Amino acid sequence: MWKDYFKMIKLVPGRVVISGHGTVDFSRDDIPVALIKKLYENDFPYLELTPRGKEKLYGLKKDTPISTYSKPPIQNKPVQKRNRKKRSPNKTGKQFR
Amino acid sequence: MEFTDINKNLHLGENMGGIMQVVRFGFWADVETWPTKPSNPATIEENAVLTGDIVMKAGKRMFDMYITDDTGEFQIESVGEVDGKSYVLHLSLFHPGLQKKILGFINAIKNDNLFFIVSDAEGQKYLMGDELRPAIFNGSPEGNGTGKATSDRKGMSCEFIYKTNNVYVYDGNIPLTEATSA
Repeated sequence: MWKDYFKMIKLVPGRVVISGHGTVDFSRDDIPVALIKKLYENDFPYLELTPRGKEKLYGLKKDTPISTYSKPPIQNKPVQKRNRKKRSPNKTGKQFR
Repeated sequence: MEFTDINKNLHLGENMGGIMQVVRFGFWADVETWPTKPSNPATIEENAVLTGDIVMKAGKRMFDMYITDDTGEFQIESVGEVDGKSYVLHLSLFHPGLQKKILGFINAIKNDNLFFIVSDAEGQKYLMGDELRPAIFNGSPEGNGTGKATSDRKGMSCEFIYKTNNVYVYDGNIPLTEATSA
């Protein structure tokens, strides 16, 4: 059932007229998953992938974010401590050069 | 904007007249966001297409209205003086019968601001209404009522008009269910 893989967002599940597909009633359970998947991949704004959909339809782990491009992994550089002396603020708050 | 030759270009020979037997409408004040007009179109085709969907406010929706076949018409009227040309879009239709629903509809909308989405016989959609101007009821050109003879047509005719700088095609979705906040 398509509702295992996708969730309707921004609308109460019901009829939507979609260009090229006619009227689709999203309150029904028997919409082919292939159609819903095609709509989702064509940026239909009222569908969201469920964690199960991510895993079953796209082979992604449940916590993998879906994005159109893969960002390179962020590498955390080790923080290098410099041996800096802390400047002590002058009492008047004025800056002298 | 790149101009090109404008040839016959009837896709699969399709060019039937009239509109669909259903028009979609909503209240202008219930719209959260409107599709955007072309701002820097690359081609003359892009200069005729709106981008994005009409999004309704949470708890609001668009509606269907049935019309009798061959009674609905979408007209593009050019108006204005030299250097001040614009358009008035007209939607005329006939809804059969004098049921409470259609009477209540006319009572409610006769002085209100609306928008309409009209589909022609090839499914190309036109939006009547934008963030600046609504579509409004302009009377009943073919009358309302029972008719005189038993063979007369009984029902409500309506005309709606929308004034606009340009005419655009709407390629977006038409949700016929309530919008939610998330």
